[in-house]
Amino acid sequence: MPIDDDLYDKLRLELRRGSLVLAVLAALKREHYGYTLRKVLADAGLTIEEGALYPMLRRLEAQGLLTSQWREEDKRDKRFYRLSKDGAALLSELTDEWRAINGALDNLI
Amino acid sequence: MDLIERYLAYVRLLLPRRSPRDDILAELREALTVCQEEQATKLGRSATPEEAEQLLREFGHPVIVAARYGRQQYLIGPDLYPVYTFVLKLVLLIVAAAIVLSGIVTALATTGAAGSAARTAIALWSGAFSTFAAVTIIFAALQRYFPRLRLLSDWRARDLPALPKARRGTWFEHVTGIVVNAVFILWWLGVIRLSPLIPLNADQGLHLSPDSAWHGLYWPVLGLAFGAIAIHGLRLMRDENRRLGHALDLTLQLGFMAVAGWALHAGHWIAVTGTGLPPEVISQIDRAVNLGLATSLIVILCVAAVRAGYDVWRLAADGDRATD
Repeated sequence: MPIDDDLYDKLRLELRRGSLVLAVLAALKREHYGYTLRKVLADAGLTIEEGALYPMLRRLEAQGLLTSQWREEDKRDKRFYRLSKDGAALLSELTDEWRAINGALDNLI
Repeated sequence: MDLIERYLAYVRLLLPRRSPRDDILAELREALTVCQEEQATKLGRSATPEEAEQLLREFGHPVIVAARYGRQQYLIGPDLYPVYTFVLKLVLLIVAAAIVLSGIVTALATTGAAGSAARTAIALWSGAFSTFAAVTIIFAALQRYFPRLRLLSDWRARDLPALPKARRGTWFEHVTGIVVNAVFILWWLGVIRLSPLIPLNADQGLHLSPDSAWHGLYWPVLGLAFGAIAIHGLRLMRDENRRLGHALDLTLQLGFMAVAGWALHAGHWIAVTGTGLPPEVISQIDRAVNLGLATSLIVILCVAAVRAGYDVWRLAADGDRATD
């Protein structure tokens, strides 16, 4: 039976959803504003809709995982984000979990 | 107002009330401006209105972008959803059974059967809708105010009640069923004749004869008796097709309900006459016999309704399993 395209898209989306948060947290070990963060993620092979990225940054900040500040760069105000102390601790735990899952999957696939 | 400002105005309108709107819009404006510049660099010229529109489309509809700034909340989350569907089905079944039974009782108590059926159908529709709404609201409230609630998480397998094994009936039951129905058919056709006279003593006796109410039911009753034999025969076979068995039984039960309902409206089914008995005694016996028949017909109707409901449920359950 051929695999339904909708099913593939749905499962792919589920697979990516959780990993995107980890990717954003990892990328924000260095300070970025929205545009440069999206570029870093895209260069690493993880594209994300901008309309989803900015709300996600706000949510992670509201959860205490990021800090942010407005700063001028190239004569324009930009909001820069960086991993907070709590965010760094959580990233470390999530990274361990990710590696464990990855290792387990490597053995299975 | 250019397209980006119009877009942002809609996002502002739709952002959650307590969000820092100006701050969010400033960030989105900056992001869209960068995107616009990036697009122009790629094209080597300014974007056309269509290209500018495409950029905003890729950014996301204002409704979706604004909603993403809100609290991420399930109406009913994945932990609660299986419990919700289970409770919803159960309550719907109970409500539907109560409405159907009350419809049957109303039909028996009044003369307008068609009107009663229509009222029952309307009550079923509005009952199902209200039940769906009430159960959904309760579970949505549980999800919202008790997000960590773990219904059915504290349980033990040994506490689950043992389910009765699916009953095919014994060989004896089915053979008896076939014989009883065959004898009934022979009697109904007049092959076997029973004396309508009931002697009480040397001078007194009762004579029972069917009323005209049965004339229109001659063929339906015969059909039901043959149907009952067919189902008993099918169940005697080990390789019985369960779905076919339930479908046939459902047809039979609906037939019983129709015949019993139709017969009930006659109000009088057996004419009692007698010899050597005063007219008032014969009248009392007539009333008692017909009251007994009315009670039997009501019992047949209710049992058939319950069995029909069971058949529908089994057909639906087997259908679900077949599509899994």
